[in-house]
Amino acid sequence: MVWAYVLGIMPAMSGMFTSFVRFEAVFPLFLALGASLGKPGRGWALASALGISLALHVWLLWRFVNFDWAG
Amino acid sequence: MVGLASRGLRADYIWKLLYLGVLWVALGLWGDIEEARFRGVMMHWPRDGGPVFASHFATWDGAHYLYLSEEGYGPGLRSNAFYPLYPLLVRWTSALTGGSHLIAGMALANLFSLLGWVLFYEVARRRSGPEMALWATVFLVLFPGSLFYQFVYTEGLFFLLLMLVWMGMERKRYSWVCAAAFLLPITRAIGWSGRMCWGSCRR
Repeated sequence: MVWAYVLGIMPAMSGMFTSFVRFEAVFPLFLALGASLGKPGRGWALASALGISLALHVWLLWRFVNFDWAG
Repeated sequence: MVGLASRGLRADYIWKLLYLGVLWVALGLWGDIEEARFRGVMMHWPRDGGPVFASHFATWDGAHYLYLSEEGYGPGLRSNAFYPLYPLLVRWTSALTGGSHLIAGMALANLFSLLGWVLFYEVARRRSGPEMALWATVFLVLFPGSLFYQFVYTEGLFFLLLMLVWMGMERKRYSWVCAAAFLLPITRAIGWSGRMCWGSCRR
């Protein structure tokens, strides 16, 4: 909780979201997602979350490698 | 446990090969860099001349890290804002890559993130079981911000050190924790929080 607060919530409340997407070190978020969406019977929610994540990943990657977005 | 870790390592390794391979082909087909965008950033690589194909892999902060590994710190440089551990490791490793700091930086970033992902899976599995650990790792790898793990950025090294702190605390291997917590703040500014968390846990 301390870690998630320091890396996730505090920068979001005190900044302009610059480079916020790079705070992937907020690893408790992924544990929470895995625990909540990885349960049986939540296939659609899991697939939707992963699909959105992958689509955003590809879009931002393409912009990043072409000097169009810095993170 | 060794078998699971080995399978995880192999899966992550294949993912990285596919990721960079597909990106390489896509850039080769469609990825010309606009000269104005290349010139518009504070630091670009290569520093002399126009953009080359490899410039795609050294964009933004990556060019700063490459500058630091090649030239070091100096007065009045914007690159001074970046922390020293990763560029120092790139400089040392470039001796093994024929003097190419870009290849050394890419290799290190991918190696560190690969190991970081495997450690993340391991500690998550010990805490919550293999299925939850698997999905947590998939979310981590696909997260939009995880693209930086593949480039000349400090994210991979930072995450690996963070996982060493976490694993060391869980297994009561305080020498790992101490070493990783010492290195975190010289990797990225936010590394101070790793030391703070360790301090609060010790109390």
